[in-house]
Amino acid sequence: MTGLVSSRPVLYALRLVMVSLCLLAGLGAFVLFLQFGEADGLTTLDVLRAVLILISTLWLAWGSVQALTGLTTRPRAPDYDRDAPIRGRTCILMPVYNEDPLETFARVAAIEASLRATGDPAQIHFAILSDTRDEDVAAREVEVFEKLVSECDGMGRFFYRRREDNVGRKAGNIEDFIARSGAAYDYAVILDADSLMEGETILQMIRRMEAEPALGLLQTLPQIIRAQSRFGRAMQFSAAFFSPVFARGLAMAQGETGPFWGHNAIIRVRAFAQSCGLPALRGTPPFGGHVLSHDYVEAALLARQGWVVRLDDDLGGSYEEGPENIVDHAKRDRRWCQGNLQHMRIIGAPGLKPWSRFVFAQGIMAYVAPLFWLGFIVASIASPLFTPMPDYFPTPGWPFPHFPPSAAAKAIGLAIGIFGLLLLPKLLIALRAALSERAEAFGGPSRVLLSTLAELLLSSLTAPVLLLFTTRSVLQVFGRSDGGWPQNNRGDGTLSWPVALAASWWIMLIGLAGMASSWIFAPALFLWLLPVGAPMIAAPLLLRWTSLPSQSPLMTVPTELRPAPVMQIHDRIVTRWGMTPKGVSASAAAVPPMQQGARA
Amino acid sequence: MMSTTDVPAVDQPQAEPAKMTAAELAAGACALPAAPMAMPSQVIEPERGVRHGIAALMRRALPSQNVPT
Repeated sequence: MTGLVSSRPVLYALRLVMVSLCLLAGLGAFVLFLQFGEADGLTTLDVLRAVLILISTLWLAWGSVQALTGLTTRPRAPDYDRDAPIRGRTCILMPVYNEDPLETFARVAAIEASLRATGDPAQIHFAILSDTRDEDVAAREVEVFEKLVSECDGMGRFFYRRREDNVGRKAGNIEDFIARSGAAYDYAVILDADSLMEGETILQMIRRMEAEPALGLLQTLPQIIRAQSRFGRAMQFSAAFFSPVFARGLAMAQGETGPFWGHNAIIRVRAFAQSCGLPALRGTPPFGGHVLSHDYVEAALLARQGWVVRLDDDLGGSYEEGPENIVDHAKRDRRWCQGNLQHMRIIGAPGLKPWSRFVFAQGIMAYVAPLFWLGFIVASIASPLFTPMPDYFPTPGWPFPHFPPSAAAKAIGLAIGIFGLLLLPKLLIALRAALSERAEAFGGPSRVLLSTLAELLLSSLTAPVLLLFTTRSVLQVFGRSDGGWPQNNRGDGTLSWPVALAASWWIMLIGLAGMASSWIFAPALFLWLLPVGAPMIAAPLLLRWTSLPSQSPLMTVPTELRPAPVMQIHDRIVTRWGMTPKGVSASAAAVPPMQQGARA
Repeated sequence: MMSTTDVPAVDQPQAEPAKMTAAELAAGACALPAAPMAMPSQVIEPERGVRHGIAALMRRALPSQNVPT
């Protein structure tokens, strides 16, 4: 067995412990809440609330347990010869869909240059797989591609193909490549339009594939780079600082049934072709039609055929960009939400490994869980309406009042437990980093601790707003509304006031209605609900404020302090092609790349 | 020696280099190598739905019962 867990019994034991801990936390919250409700007479609504808190806590605990598991180990490379000669042929695939060709192809040029710097012992090819529908963008793609080929001396190594239709979207695009040219290659590195990878990382991925013939797919853990806004930098910090630990915990539990996130990964072409032909689902979108979140399905299908799918989190040099504001994040999340909910149709597919089904359930739960939290809040506001008035004189003739026992301690205990599940993993990650050399890459121990607190504060403020965006997405999908295939926004991301207001007025109204209802029907809950209601009421302000550029020293990530070599190459190419590198002023862009490394 | 006929007139429009289209590019030197590989379509849905799946499980658990499908 390969991967982070050495043997199958250990893997099963680990899974058992992780799931048991979640069940323990969920049942604990359930019982505590029932006891709390019992104090003033248990109603049906109390039981409903207890069930909602059970499900929500289970989900919350699963995230925490992943992080705690991840904290028990450190990234470790598998055993293989790092300098082994490369025999297989590899093609790097860059699927594009109405993207800015200059920006996208500059990334390809940077990866190629990074590979060339290694001597490129694999003689890797590059294929731009265009699904672009906009004719002007397509014409520009051709122009920039010619520039790319000429600059990289890429004739015979660089290929361009534009599909006449978009059947199957990105999955169909890759499938079309395999159908045309799959037999020419042993491996394919799949990128996104915003991906950037070090040449050395790609070579090591190929060597790992060659060393393990059963390895069907190897996923890297991409770091978010070049974020500029407050929201974007918070996501970037979270992805660089917390995600590796969460991802390691998840990877340990997944074993050889690992994840595929659709990009920054290498596939064995033969395995992929044999296992991953995706038919359209019966019926119409959102649940029927082409599979949207195809990556999860492809990982499950590879595992079904006996191929190993693995996340190697020790591999650095893998980057992507993220949304710069909450609106773009919500748009992307809408697409992912539809894709993950569509997995309800696939979770029962014949022959899947049990853990693959669990991964589907987890992906579905990621979008459904907020509805349980929202249901809990609504039920809590409504609860006093259904609670009978306490009887202070239950014994006839007895002159002294009998007060029901206070359950405040249980409520506070429950709240502490839930906040603990939310905060503890991140605090532990920060503490461990502060006590080790890892903090230095993020600006030192004190900055790491302050950045963690800032991230916790910002994510607490944005969570209620994101909760409503997710709820809307889920309701739209269940209401049979298809989100389509919107183009990604990759600009600087600042939201104007009108845009922020247009995107969030309904959140503001829901927040106002919720807090007013609490004031009228459940005044005792008003202060408890304020951390949820206030960000909703302030949603336009929050959307606008978080989209503004950030120069704060907090939430610094290693790639800001020392841009990776491939980022420096990319900056140089972008400047040569007449653009300003993202996050760099025009004057700084003129500085030679090696000096730019110290700009932070 | 250059004759006057070789000198383009100032007001004569210069012919722009022919721009390649995406189709021409994809069919020319930068075309993907032709090396087809079959990618058979996989079964990714339960063949008969959840209701039938439950009925099948019941049939397996209770073989003597006539569970409708």
